[in-house]
Amino acid sequence: MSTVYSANQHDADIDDNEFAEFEDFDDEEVDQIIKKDTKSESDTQEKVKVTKDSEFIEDEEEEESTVETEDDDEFEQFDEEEFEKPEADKPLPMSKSKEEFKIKPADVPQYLQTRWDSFYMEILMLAGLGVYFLNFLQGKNKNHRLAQTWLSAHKDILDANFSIVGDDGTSKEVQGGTLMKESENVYALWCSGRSCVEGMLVELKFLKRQDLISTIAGMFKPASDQIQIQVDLDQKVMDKFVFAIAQKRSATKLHKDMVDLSQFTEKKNVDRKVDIPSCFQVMSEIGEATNAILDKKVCQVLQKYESCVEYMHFSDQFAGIKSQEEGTPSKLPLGKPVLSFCFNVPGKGKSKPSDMEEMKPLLQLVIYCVDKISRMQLSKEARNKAEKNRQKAEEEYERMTHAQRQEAAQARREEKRRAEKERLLNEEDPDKARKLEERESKKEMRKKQPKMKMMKVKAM
Amino acid sequence: MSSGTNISNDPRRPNKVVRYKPPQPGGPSDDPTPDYMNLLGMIFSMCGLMMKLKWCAWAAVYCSFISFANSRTSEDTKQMLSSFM
Repeated sequence: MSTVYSANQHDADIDDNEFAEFEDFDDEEVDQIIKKDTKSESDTQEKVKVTKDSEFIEDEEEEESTVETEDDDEFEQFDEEEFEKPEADKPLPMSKSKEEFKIKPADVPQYLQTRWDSFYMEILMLAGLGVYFLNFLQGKNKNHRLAQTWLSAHKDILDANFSIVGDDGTSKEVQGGTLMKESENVYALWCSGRSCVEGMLVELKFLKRQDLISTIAGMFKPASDQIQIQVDLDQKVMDKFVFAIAQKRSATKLHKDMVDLSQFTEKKNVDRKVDIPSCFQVMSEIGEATNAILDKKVCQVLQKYESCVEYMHFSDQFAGIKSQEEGTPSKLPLGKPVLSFCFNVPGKGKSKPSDMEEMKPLLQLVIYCVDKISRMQLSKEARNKAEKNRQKAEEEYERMTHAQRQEAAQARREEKRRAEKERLLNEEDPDKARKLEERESKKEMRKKQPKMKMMKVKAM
Repeated sequence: MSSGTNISNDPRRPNKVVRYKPPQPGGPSDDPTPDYMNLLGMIFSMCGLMMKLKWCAWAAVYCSFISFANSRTSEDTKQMLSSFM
C-alpha cells in the first residue's frame, strides 16, 4: 500500500507537474522514478494510469460546478442530460489541446509574400535615377574644375589689362574675382576698366556633362566646349565697318542670324593672297578694313589655331541675333560696336584642364585685336562707302516700319473707343450710367450739330 | 588718344569701370531644355495621376530631375520644388 500512498504523493507532485503537463520535463521525472524504483514495472504504468483517472475526476468536478451554476437558472430535470453531454465533449478538448502545440508552418496567403519580381519596375527606375545622379555630380565637378583652371590660367593676362576682373554687378562697391555660374555648364566673367573698352564678357560654354542624356548624345555627334568672348567697345573708338571670319560650317548660320551681318556684308571665300586656312570664310563690308585686320599676326594665329577659332565678328552695328518674330521690331535696333569671338577648346569634349593652358594665346589675340581696331583709321572713300551703306539701311528700315507704325496707330484708336464703350456698359449704379449716357449722346450731338445748322441756313 | 598721354602703356582705367548688367532672361542664348523638361514633367505627372499609369509617374520624376540638372542658377527653388512634387 505504501507504494500506492507514495504513489499518491508522487501523484500530487506529478499532479502539480501535470498542471505543468505541457512541459516535456514531466516524462523525464517519470523515467527517473522508473530508474530508481526498479522492482515493479507495472507500478509505474499504474501510476501513469492513476494520474490520468485523477485528472478525469478533477475535470469532471470542474465541469460539474460550471454545470450546476447553469442549472440554477434552468429547470431541475435537465440536470442529467447536461451532465451527460459535457462528458461526451471531454475527450475532444483534451486531445485538441495536445495537437495545438505542435507549431504548424502558417500557410500565408500567396500575395503577401514579398516577391521581388513585382518590384522590378521600381528597382530599374531607382537604379536609373542613381546613375543619373552620379553622372550629375561627376559632370558638375568636371565643369567646375575646367572653369577654375581656365580662370587661373588667364588671371594674369586679365589683371594686366583690366582694372576689374569678375564683377557680378550686384555688390555696391566693385570687387572682382567672382566667376559667375550661369548654369551647371555655363560660367561667365565680366571684366571692365580698360582704355577704349566698356567691358568684356567671357562666357565659358562647356558641354552639358552633368546631363547624362546630352553626354550620350555627345558621343554620336562630337561637340567641344566653347569660349565666347564679347568685347563692348567705347562708342567713338571703332571705325564704321562690319567684318566677320568664320569656319565654313558656322558661317552660313552666322550670316543668316546676325542682323548686321545679313544687312551689311556679303559672304566671300578667302582670297588666295592672304594665307589663311581654307576652312574659313570671310564676310566683309569694306575690303580695305578686311585687309587691314587680316594682317600677318592674325593670319599666323589663325593658321596655328585653325580648329580652335570658331568665328571672329567685328562690327560697329552689332545688334545681336535677329529676333524670331517676323515683323521688324518697332524701333531701329541700335547697333553698338562689339568684337565677339568664339573659340573651341581642343580635345573634342574630352578636354582636360591642361587644354585650358593652350587657350592663353587666343586671349592675347583678343587683346591684340582690340588695340588694333581702336588704332585703325579707314581711308576717306572707305568711310564714305560705309556711310552710304548705313543710310541705305536706314531708309529701307524706315519704309518697312512706316506701314507698321500706321497699323499700330489704328489699333490704338480702336482700343480707346472700345474701352470707352465698355466702361459705359459695366457701370453699376443706374444714375451714374444715365449721366454717362447723356454726356455721350451730347458729344455725339455736338459732332453732328454743325452739319445740321448749315443745312437749315441753306433751306431758308 | 588718352592712352598716348600717359607714359606707362598700362591700358587699365580704374575710373572707367562699367558694372555688369545681367542680360534679360528672354535672350536667345539660354537653351530651352530645362523649361521643356519642366513642362513635360508636369504633363506626365498629371496623366500619371489621372490614369494611374506607373510609367507616367516615373517619367515625370525623370523629367523634373533633368530640368533640375539643366536649370540656370537664377531660377528660384520654389519652381524646383513644385516640379518635383
